Amino acid sequence: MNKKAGQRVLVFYWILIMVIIAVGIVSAVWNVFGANMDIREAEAGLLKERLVDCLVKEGKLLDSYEKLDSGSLDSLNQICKIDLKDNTGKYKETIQYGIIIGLRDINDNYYSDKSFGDWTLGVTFQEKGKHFPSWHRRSVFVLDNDKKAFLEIATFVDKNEKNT
Amino acid sequence: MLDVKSGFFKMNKKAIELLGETSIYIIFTLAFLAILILFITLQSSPKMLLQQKTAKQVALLIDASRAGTEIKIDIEEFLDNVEKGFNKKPIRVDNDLNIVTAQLSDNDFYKYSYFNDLNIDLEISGDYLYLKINE
Repeated sequence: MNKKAGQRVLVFYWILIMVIIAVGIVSAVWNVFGANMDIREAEAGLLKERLVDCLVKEGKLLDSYEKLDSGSLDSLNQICKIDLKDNTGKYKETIQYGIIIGLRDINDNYYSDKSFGDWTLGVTFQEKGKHFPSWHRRSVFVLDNDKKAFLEIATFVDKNEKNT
Repeated sequence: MLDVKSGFFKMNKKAIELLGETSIYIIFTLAFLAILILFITLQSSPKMLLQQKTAKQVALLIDASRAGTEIKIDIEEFLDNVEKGFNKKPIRVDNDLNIVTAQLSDNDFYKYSYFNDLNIDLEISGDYLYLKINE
């Protein structure tokens, strides 16, 4: 009777050890092979560079900045050839990028700003919540009609599910 | 005689019990190992990772390019993994939706979007992928 009870306890431990080993192997394999490659930081950097290409030439702020209609994805698309929608189906054509562009003078006073896409991603980024987008920021010295200024560009990329 | 017979039966019963327990133990262990190996094989298949890597790589190259750029990429490793009998183009670009699709078989594919809204010509020749970025 005692021997049988002992055997049952051994079987229980054997199953427990097997389960622990299985969980360990499965989680290790899942972590190595199931993880997505996160390219959002590279994307945010490239988006920022595309905007600089579109708005600045030889250190001068182009007319395209004035032509950009803040919040209008169509004007961003027509002037800078940038499409902020994700049509892969994963995000149901929702915007997965955010852009904030600002102009400040050499005394650090902002005198113009424009935003496109989901610029609230910047706020989400600062809160460091569960949703954690990647971002890039760049300050470019420009001449805005012969006036010295800095063009500030911040870009945000969400696409959380495809990259984390 | 009777004693010997009952002893014989007693011994056999024990042996049968032991054999049964051992068989169950072996079967259970083998099933456990088989499931584990199957899981590792399926998960560690390079195909899913390769599709994702290629789609993201092409999307980043498109995002980084200006109009007039021409790019040649070695995709030999990707093409080696295309399933036999799969007739579609394994790497495709949708210029209307701005999506790159990397597909190695009928059932598996990976899509990734790019923001650079230019016209992309994509061609696969030999082991290389040729991208031409047009206005």
